[in-house]
Amino acid sequence: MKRPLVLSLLLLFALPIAGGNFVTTVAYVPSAYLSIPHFEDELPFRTSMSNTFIFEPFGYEADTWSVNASLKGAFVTPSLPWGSYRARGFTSLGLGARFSYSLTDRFALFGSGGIAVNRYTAIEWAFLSFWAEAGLQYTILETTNTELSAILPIMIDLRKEITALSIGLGLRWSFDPYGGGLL
Amino acid sequence: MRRMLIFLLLPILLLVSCELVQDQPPQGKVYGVFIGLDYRNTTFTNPADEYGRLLPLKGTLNDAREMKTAFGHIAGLAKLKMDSYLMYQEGDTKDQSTYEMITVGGTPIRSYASKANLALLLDALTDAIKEEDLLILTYHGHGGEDVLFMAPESNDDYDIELKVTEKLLKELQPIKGRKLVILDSCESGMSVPASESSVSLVRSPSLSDWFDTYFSDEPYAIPPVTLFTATAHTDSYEMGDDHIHGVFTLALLEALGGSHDEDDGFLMGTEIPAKHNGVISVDSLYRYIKQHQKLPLRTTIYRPTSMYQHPMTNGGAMDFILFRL
Repeated sequence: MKRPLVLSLLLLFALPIAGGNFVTTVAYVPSAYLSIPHFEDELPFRTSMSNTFIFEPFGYEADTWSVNASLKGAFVTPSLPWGSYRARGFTSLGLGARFSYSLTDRFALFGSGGIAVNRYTAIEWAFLSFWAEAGLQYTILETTNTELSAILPIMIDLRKEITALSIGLGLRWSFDPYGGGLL
Repeated sequence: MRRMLIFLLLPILLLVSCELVQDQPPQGKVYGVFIGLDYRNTTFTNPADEYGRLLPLKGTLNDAREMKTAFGHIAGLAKLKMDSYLMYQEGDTKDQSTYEMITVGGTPIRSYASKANLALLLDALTDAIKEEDLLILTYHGHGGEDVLFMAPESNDDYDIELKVTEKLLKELQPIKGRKLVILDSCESGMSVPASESSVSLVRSPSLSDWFDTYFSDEPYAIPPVTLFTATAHTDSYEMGDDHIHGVFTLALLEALGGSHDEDDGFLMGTEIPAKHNGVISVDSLYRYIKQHQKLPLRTTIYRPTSMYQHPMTNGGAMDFILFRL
């Protein structure tokens, strides 16, 4: 009984709130993930790949700016093997907020930040991290109810023993099935 | 426009990763110390053990001998030279003269697995092992909380407890090179230290543990000795009919490409299941064992069991690469 209730609540929150300027967004960003260690390592940084999926159930859009609450899942691969060690791969689940500002009809700047829990893929150890992100957004396609954009985010992942720089090129799809959003 | 181009080219410049533009450092020699004891010659009473006396074990000698063969085979595949030393205790005698001698750098040492002989061997290896070398030490025998049980030197010798953190890891400290210690014994995961940067999910951390670890001043460093253990805080088990092995070691042997044949005994194959992206690492071995060991990893409400064991290794950001194949 509990599970259907939780699922229904999640679905309710996931849907854009009817009317107003509220939108829901999904995004996917594949990126290079560069781990810069705070400890003594054989290399100045190690290279992994990251696949990030973002879900923003609530977003509010005004004329030139928008703000969203985001739920982020990322899969970071182990780094390329080099020498005696490689950086461990991990999966990440984060919560955050995003803000964007339109420069022109097509271009916008955005920034986001939040907290994430991460679990190493192979072993049962986990860690906390904080992230901040800034980037450029280009609107490829726009209809009354949907918007497809290309995004170029640069993300900093603040881990205890590593500061990671992540640069990718992704796609972002916002939709508002009830109308009123996506001005 | 030019600014925009620079901005777009930045990711490409950064994609030229360190790993792709630098030559791999040379891999040195591999040294292996394989310890197995059957405890038929001791009446030592383990205070922490409900059964009292250290009961004889049937799979530990198989474990140590076959691990020696398996790592020797893998080193061969990786085109690395390997020196292997078997330290063991077999049967009911305490007469060390029946055990063969090991010679390391001109120092003769009995292969009888007592604390003193192991200390001598590690001392001799300190001079032999160089920075680029790899030392693998495996132990198959009884264990307790952060303690191993070695062979007695005489009938009156009850000082057979070898503290892992206090003694063994300290004896390994002066040895240069990369070091891996594999322990197949009860409660062996208790010797795995807490990580400065991550929390062990096997040890059920609280929410405050996550934040305390993140905000603590203790800096992370790659562990000087990597530990890889059969179990976290529970007992470890042996399995088999005629040919017995530790559950953990059996899965580890399979991960390294080993198999058992009724006629030919233990065989090494060319396919290495734990090889992943051209390397064998602690994480790749760990992952294989988790998926293939013959006992469950934990007891749950849905699958309750009294016999389970969960392997452990050090936390933190780095995975230890043992062999490049």
